Amino acid sequence: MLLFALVSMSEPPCPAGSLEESLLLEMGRGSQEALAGLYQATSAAVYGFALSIVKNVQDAEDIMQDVYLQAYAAAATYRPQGKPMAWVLTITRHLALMRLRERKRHTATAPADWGLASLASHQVTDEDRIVLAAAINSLGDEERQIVTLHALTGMKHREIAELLDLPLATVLSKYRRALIKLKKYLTKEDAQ
Amino acid sequence: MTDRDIEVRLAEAIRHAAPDRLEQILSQCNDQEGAVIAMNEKKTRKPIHRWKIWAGAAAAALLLAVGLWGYNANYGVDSIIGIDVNPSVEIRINRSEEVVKANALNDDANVILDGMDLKGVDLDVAVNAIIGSMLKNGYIDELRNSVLVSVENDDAAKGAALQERLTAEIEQLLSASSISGAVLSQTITDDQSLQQLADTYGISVGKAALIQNILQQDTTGMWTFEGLAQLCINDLNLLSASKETQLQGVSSTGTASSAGYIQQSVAKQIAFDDAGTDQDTARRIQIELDYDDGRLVYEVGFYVDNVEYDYEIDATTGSIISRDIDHDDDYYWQNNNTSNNSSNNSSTNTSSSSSFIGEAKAQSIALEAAGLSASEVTGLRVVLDYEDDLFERDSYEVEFYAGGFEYDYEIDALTGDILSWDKDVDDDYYYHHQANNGNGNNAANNGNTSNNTTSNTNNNTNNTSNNTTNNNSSSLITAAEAQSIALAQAGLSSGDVTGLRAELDRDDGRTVYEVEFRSGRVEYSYDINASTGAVISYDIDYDD
Repeated sequence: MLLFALVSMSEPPCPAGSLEESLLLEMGRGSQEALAGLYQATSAAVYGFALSIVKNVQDAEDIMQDVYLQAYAAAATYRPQGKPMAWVLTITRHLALMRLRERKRHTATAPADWGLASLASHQVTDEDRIVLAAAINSLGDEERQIVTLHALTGMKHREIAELLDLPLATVLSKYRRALIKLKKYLTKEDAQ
Repeated sequence: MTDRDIEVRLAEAIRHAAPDRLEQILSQCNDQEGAVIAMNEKKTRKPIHRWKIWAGAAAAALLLAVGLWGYNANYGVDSIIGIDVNPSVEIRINRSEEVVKANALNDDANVILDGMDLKGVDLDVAVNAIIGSMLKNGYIDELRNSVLVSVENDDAAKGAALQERLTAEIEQLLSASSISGAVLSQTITDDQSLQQLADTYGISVGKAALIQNILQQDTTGMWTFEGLAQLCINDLNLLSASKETQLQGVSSTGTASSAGYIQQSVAKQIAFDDAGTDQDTARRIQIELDYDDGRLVYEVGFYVDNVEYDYEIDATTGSIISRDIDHDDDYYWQNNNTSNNSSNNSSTNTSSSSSFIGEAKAQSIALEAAGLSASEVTGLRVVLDYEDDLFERDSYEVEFYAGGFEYDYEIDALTGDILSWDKDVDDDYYYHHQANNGNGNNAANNGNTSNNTTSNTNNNTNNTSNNTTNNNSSSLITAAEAQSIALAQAGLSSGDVTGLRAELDRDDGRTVYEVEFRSGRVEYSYDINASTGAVISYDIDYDD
């Protein structure tokens, strides 16, 4: 029993499995309640994933908003396949990559700290800033995306590989490397 | 600090940083919907209800006035008019252009005609009501603006006149709802073979005729009637417009909306990004609009040096449905073996990838490392993985299966060094043999044990007993036992390694120990089934 309790506590707070496919189907019929439900269940993952791609707080916020508008409009075409989280994140990835390309075209470089300093939310603690800085400074793009997805969605490595169009082996090794790098960075930071 | 601690901290930080935009999102949804509803209400919604009453009265009045003489004029079908969007509606009218019968030809059309009594109503009024209902129900909007009108009349001139009039009328109805429509129109003759096709695929005769015409445009012979029958009129209109030849026998006004789809240039860019190339480097670039399984897709093909890339990209989401990367080994050989064929060498295209070791070499390096030959493995796959990050090396991912294991190697594309490798129990593999419990050092045997515990299809009684112990937490091995299993697997002793630790975790519903340690510059991590002690997977990384 004790073991079970420990294990369930270490589960991510929003595992992909808890996202009801019926939400998308209801949304397809125009339910805004379902949209709100989807938002509650996935917004942190959508935001985190977008941020890990575009590396800019402002852009990630805009993308998050667009993701739900697009999801709401496209839900009618959603075909049940047991992967509602992956569906939402596919939209996120697509919008984020588009934004990234726009940025590149206009050669506007993102601020080095991703605009974290201007982050208004009073919820962000100093410790949060350290972790985010660790993700920004110590990880490669793919490593950051993989570890963010794993931390926030409870998706399996195989599912992450599918979403990112990467071979499973790459995801596994990058995930492993990402955690090691984060740990190194945070241990150093915590010691200071 | 465990891996999980780090993930939890990261997740918390992102959750805190994420803004709350739900209100804005919902209000924007309302704005969009409100606008559409307001427009339709003006034009169509109320009239439908009024017409219903009026229509009944009109029909009755007409019947009284015309009396028996008019029977044929009123009930004999003169023309059949098909209106297709995705809903397919068929209206039969008499010589006085009054509706004798309106039929819903598919499920979507049932929604459109729901509660509508069009019998005896003027054709114009009926068309108005049907288009209005399609707008109201969201079948026609800025994203899907195409309507197909098909007129069937024995008198060709009369049919053509009706076709022209209805086209203009529908265009006007759409523009009144601020939608610039695209109307396809045609006159069709009573054709038995068309009717048969329509019946087979559950579509209208008009749509069947349109599809036949579109098939004429397709010179590749890749499109099929069956495939096209699944698409709505707007998709068909877009596909037809993407072809160089004109659609024969069908008049077309307006432009099919592509607003619901990503642009060609975006699709191309997605493929380029995935292949790690760009417009300037890729050659013989081809892009075509196509369909797959009821949705529109872009087929993107190009070459980079001796590698041929073919992508299928979802035109709605921009996601990559499939990619096919073909390495032309002959080309490689001719261009890299200077002593072999000098005439071919003159055409060598110099670029960074020409100094890569090549897929064949990567494959043999991986096989050699695994101690296997090509004939002993199945599902062999080599993919060149371009890295976005300048500091990461481009690598070949080599995958294959042998003896119930899945092998993954990452091999430096320039030096041929093995960057990392992974040997995983292949869950799909059906293993007939029973585990040999005597030898903990043997990777294959460890794999066996784990396979037995995960495979429920095996009827072996020994296996069943293994399964029963699987979820019993009281019989878990200890962390120390897990460590020694991992060390034995790696051929090391605890004195050889640093940072040795074991952590209880869950993976795929199983309780596992994650065991990690380092030896020199090599880092080992093992997942060990905490119930059976079997090695589920391991990963060996060379630290750079």
